[in-house]
Amino acid sequence: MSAVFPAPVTQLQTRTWSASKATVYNDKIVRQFSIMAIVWGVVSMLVGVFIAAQMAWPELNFGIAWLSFGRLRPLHTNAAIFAFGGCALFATSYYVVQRTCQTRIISDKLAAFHFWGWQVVIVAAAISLPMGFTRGKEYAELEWPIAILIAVVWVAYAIVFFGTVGIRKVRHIYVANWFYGAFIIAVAMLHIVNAAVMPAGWMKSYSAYAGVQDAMIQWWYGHNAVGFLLTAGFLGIVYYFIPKQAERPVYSYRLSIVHFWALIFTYMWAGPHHLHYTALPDWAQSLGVVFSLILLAPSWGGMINGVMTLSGAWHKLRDDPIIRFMIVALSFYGIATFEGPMLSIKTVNALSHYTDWNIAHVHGGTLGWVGFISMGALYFLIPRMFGQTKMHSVRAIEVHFWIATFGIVLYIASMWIAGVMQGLMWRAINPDGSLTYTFVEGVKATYPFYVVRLLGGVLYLTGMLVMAWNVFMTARAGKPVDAAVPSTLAHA
Amino acid sequence: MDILFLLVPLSVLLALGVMGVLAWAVWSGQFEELDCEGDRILDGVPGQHPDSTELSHTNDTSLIYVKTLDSVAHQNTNHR
Repeated sequence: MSAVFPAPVTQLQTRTWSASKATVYNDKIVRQFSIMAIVWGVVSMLVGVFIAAQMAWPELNFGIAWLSFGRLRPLHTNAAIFAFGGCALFATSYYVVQRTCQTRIISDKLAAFHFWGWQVVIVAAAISLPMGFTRGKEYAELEWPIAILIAVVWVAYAIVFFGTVGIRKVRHIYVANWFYGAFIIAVAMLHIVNAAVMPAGWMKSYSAYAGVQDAMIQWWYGHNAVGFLLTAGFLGIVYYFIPKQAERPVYSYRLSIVHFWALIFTYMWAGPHHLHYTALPDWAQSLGVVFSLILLAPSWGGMINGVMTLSGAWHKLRDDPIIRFMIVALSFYGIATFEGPMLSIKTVNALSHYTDWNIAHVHGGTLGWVGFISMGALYFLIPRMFGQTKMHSVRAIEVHFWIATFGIVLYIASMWIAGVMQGLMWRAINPDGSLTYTFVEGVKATYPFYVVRLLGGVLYLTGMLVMAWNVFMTARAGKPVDAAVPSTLAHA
Repeated sequence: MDILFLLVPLSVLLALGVMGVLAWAVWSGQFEELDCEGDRILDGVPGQHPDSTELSHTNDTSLIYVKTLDSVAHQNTNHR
């Protein structure tokens, strides 16, 4: 039995590039994905703002097919989810897995392939979607050659991540790694099953499934992509970066373990709630409702666990804008995971489905939860990646927070009101049984809300631009630094 | 709904797989010493580890380590 004590700790915690590879973490991959998360964040939000303006003023497509809403909308969603969200998850997961396993990633080359491969995927999406190439499946629009590249790149990522966990120097696998691991495995499986197609030319294919079968597969994929990419992955961020930024351990480590297993056991069957009142059999729809309602429990357990991490240090919420990003993200996670199960109830869904209420729900989740937790984590990472102790301007983080929060409130509130209004107008019936309103009357009534939503989006984008400036100034003031792997604890 | 012949077995397999991983995690002792795992990532200094009683005197977070000294002693035996 020899728990060897760590080497004496000196002032020098970081070393520059020249240090030998085995003694430093691979922070280059973290830096690359962090920077690209910011870049793609700006791009995706810019496209979002543009198509939001098109909703208010359709003339803005200028009669050019490439700029039409139907083509730019999937570009916006793919860029936001897979480019911005994806890069944020990759950057943080590479940072976390190395720190918590106290070892450099298993392969620098595979990680580099992951980075460049993913950028190629994003660029291919940015070109092919406006050109009109699409599989027509929401969040899975990219045509088969790109889908294959995604699968290959994803396998490389999985090898690096799990290989690194495999060579860890710490026996215990920290809970954040479990969330990242589940995200990696689930997304691989979902993508491969849903992307099964018969190619009919280089950029054309037909789904392997037909009719309602295809719809079921699509929403099994679609909802679990939300569950595992936009939830589990970002919960990995929660369980590492909130404790780090708050300088306190997670409120209940035991609860975080229960949170993980409960979430991944119950998530898989919520998908049918996207297909209420369709050709999908009623029992399958009801199954989707039940599982969606069950999900409320682990979701709120996790949210409370994250927020309570600040227990006894609530003043940090006032003093530290980075912590504020993270905790407000968790509040939006709480709102979205309450709203989701409610929307899945069939009677509520009868009012909400196909209205802008869904847009409000999704953006509460993306702008509020995914966006804010990523921004918080990136504000934590960027200074450390460039040998700085804090961001160039803490005041600018504060400004970013308030602009973005105000933007989200405008966005969600306007779309909530618009959605309920649309639902009520569509179902309004005259005494003789005819519809009270034509569809276009609903569109006309929504116009002012589309303008308010655009304003909210512009504010959110403005906040992101402030962040991009802040990141640029921080990076310029410092230089790329790779942190040293602690020479520790050979458990004999 | 032929698709269920794919999705149901896939879900069952997945659930079994998850159970297998959970069983591995439990039996291999991943969840034996949860009291100190949440604290460990906080070490502001590289290499700090609850195994190290030495550091309990040199660090701001010493209280945490003093509190967990008992479990540390136990943990060391596990790391053989």
